[in-house]
Amino acid sequence: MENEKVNPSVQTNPESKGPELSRRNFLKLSAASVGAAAVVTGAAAAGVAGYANATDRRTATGWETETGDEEYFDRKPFEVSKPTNRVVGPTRNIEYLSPAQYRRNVLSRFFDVPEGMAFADYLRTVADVNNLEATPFSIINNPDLVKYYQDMLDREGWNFFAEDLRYFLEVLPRRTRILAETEFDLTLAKAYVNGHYYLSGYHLSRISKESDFEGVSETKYDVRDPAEMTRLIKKVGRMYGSPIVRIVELNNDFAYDRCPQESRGYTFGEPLNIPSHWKYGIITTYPLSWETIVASPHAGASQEGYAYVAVTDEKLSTFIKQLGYSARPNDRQHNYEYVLPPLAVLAGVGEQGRLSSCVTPEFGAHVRLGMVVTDLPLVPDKPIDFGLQKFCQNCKICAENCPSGSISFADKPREINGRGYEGWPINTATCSNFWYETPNPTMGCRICVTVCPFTKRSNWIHTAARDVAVRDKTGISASMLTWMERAFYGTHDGEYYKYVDGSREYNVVKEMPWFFKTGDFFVEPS
Amino acid sequence: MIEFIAGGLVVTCMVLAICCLFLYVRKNKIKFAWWKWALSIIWLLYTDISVAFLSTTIGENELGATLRGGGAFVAIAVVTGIVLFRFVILNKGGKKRDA
Repeated sequence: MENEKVNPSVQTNPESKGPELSRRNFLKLSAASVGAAAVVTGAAAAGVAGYANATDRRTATGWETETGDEEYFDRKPFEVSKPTNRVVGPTRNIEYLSPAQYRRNVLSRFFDVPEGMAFADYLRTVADVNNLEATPFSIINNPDLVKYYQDMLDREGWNFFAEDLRYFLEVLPRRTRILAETEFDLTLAKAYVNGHYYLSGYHLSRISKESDFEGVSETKYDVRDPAEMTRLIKKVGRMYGSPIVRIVELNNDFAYDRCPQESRGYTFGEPLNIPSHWKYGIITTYPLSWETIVASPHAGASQEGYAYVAVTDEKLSTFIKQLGYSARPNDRQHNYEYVLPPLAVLAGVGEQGRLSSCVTPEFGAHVRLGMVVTDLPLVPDKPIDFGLQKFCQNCKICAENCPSGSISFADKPREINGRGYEGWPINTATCSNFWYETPNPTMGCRICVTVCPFTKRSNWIHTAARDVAVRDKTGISASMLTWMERAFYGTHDGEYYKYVDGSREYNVVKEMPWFFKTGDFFVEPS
Repeated sequence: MIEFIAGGLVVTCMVLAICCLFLYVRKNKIKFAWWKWALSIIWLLYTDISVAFLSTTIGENELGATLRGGGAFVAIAVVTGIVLFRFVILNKGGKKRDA
């Protein structure tokens, strides 16, 4: 017994049946146990909080409407005097022939197509179908179009003529085949998107050269304070459904030089004489639904955002006219005199990113823009710099994911399209062609918009990541977050998204939503 | 509402864990410098954030991020937790403060 070691933490009470802990050691053990339990419970609670936050509908984007007074991102600390897409040369208007789809809608007019002959059939007789790049511009009978094609070829090395020919000779016939074989699978997606079109004809019918003053109240009061009027308009705009409302002083560099299509009372190619009474643009926005945008490029459509923003613009125009001032919506369903992304950048809605869209700090790139032009006295907002140019220089995820290779990989932005403004060039002809080479019944693709690291759900992870990235001026956290995006969330290369004819398999950015899976709701005819 | 309740529980448990650590070092007469407190609190925060990341990515249906990101974060939390407890809190080979 003499050599028996006694554990000092255990004392033997002669009256008790076994060993018992001292008070001190009981406390030690209790502290350790309770501490460990607290760590585990705290971690478990953090897990529950994270899961609850991630599955909360409010952390998906696309619902942020009628928000009242506050925007989701405080832009004030990021306001700058000049936009980050700098002026680097003489500026000019946007060519009326530059929007690929509008140009192709009227392309047959620029050729001597024999009467009764289909345009595609005619092109087969004059173009080198085995080498579209070699087709001479001399078969075009419109000097503006020849100049436009030649400028793009000289400036960027892009043969838009060959891409336009490819659209008619290869893309459209393929699209017909693809749509036929995928019709059943994408019935619900098509029906959903077409639901958003229901007012588009109505919206367009409301616009003419004179419509600014139609329905304007005869009673007009002088504005007491333009700053207060701006506050009022932003409040009303948000109540009408736009989560971001910003004011821009109109810059006619961002108007078309001529009308790119027949609408709004203009004929195709008619000079757009911007009325002198147009002073300000009220930029409105609408984020697309997260559930549908992740089905890009094969389902979902921008019309979802355009439809809502058009309704907001219509309401806002009516509101302004009721006050005795003129107003005219510019948006996808009312059509445009202006190109909106650069004006949204001027207004501080966001910055122009590598993908060429306006990227906002809170919703990323997947907002759709609208604008109401007016002579109501307002105070323009300042542009913002939240470090997107630097972020885009390092990131390049949109360019890696682009199936048509239309997005530039260049490190630095440069002057684009001879318009005098800096940015990353986008090959709109190849981009537009890919829209038609997806089975999406209302056209793809929106991949760049969806994979942009700023386009994320608004749960705590992504909100915190965006908040850190925009405030860290060193760019270290932006590089780290981009790395984490690739390493953790994963990205694809462009090939992944390309539809394989006959496969009826749809590789989308995330997953096809359950409410687009037609086979789960209907019996496919055999 | 559940986010607020769970968030409150996280904070409560963190405070409780720190109180327990305080009791533990006092009863064991362990010398605990300010940087050890800082390390312990950072580890607690990191662990909670790692678990929250894991469950958030499950909630947003991002399995890749759960496995790669969540897995890496939690593994780091476990390893650093062991190191912290063994070499900083228990202070093996270190000095004990005078009784």
